[in-house]
Amino acid sequence: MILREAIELLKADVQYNQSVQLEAEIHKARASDLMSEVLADDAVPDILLTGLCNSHVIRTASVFGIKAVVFVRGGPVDQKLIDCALDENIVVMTTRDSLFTSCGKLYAAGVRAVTENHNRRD
Amino acid sequence: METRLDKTLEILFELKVGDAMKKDVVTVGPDDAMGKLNEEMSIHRISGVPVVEGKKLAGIISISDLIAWLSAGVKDSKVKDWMVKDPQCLYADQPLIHAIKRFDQLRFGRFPVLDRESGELVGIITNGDIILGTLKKLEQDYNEEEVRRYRASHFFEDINADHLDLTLAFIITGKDFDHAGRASTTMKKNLKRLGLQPEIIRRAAIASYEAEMNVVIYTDGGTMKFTITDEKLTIIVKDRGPGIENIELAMQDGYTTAEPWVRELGFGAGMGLPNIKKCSDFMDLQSVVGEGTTLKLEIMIGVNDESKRINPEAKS
Repeated sequence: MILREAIELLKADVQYNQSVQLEAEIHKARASDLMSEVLADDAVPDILLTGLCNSHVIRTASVFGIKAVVFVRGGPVDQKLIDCALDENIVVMTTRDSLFTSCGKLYAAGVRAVTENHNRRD
Repeated sequence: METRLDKTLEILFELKVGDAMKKDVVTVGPDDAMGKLNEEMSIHRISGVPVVEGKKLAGIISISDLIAWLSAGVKDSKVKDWMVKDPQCLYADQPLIHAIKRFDQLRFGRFPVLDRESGELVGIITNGDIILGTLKKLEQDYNEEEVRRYRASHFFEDINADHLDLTLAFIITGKDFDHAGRASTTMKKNLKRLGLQPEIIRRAAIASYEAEMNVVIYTDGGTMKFTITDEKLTIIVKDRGPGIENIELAMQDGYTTAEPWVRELGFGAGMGLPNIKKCSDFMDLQSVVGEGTTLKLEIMIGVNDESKRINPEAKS
């Protein structure tokens, strides 16, 4: 699916720089509140889902090359975080769904774990 | 103006029907009732539907056929009685310019799109899809052009010397979580501008970010220095203490001395140092308790040359 469809699926509020960013294909996702764990992965997910709401999530995404971040349970996402995301050219969105539900919805739509083909903890 | 039009024309040759077509196609079967077609058209707000049997295209039926059926007043009619058989099609691998010509010649509202090899229906295309596809491509090309202009990849080629050595340094403030990561993300942009390979940039960014976070979380502050030569990128991170008591233990996956507040920020899982090691081709960690720690990393940038890689395990 493309990012635009994921946003609709999660009924998410979204912030981005250019609409073309929403056309990005989403195949692999990662859900974690532990940024070091994300950074230790061998493969880069297309989207990161997290309950952690601070600008380090954005910095982690930027450093790792993740193009979109979903904040679950409605954030809260402050302006500082949004500014940081726009600055790094990363799409950020907030959904009211829990982490579990968000992952379930994406999985049902065909998105898979980034670690699925690797022998790593999920 | 002329150059822009040339560009558009170029795109119309470059883009294929398959790039611009809609892939989620609403279809009906030849034995479906005309009443069902009526419903499908109003639900999806479309004016033409391909008729598909198995995966093969059997015909196409449009709103004018529907009107003809309605005004004829025949009940219990099937789609196959009203559809246009053997409709004009396009193939997914044809250039978009060809589709435009066909629209112009035949004045149809839409064309079913087939895969040339299998002959199966893979999409549908309207004039609107062509316009949207072209605009998207133009926007994409424009963005790429912007990135290219921003990049100073000719830097190394333009600056002449027998030996090149560029050093950029950053100050890291301890416990300053608001600005933590600034040095690494700024440096990532710098490396991009210097035209380094994306894979090298990613490894450098991850290693330096983890190292920067360590300085912010555990120490009173320090410095991070990046030195780029045409052979390698060296990162030296120095802090002012408190130092690491047992380096061997610190290097173990999962070992941590982080306090709960650090973990609440998403760090301190004991994965930083092992990950830094994984990202670099060479790593050296020296520490004196009470004085400070110095971390030295090297990432080879002789990009395509695998033999230059000291650490074959380094992730790509």
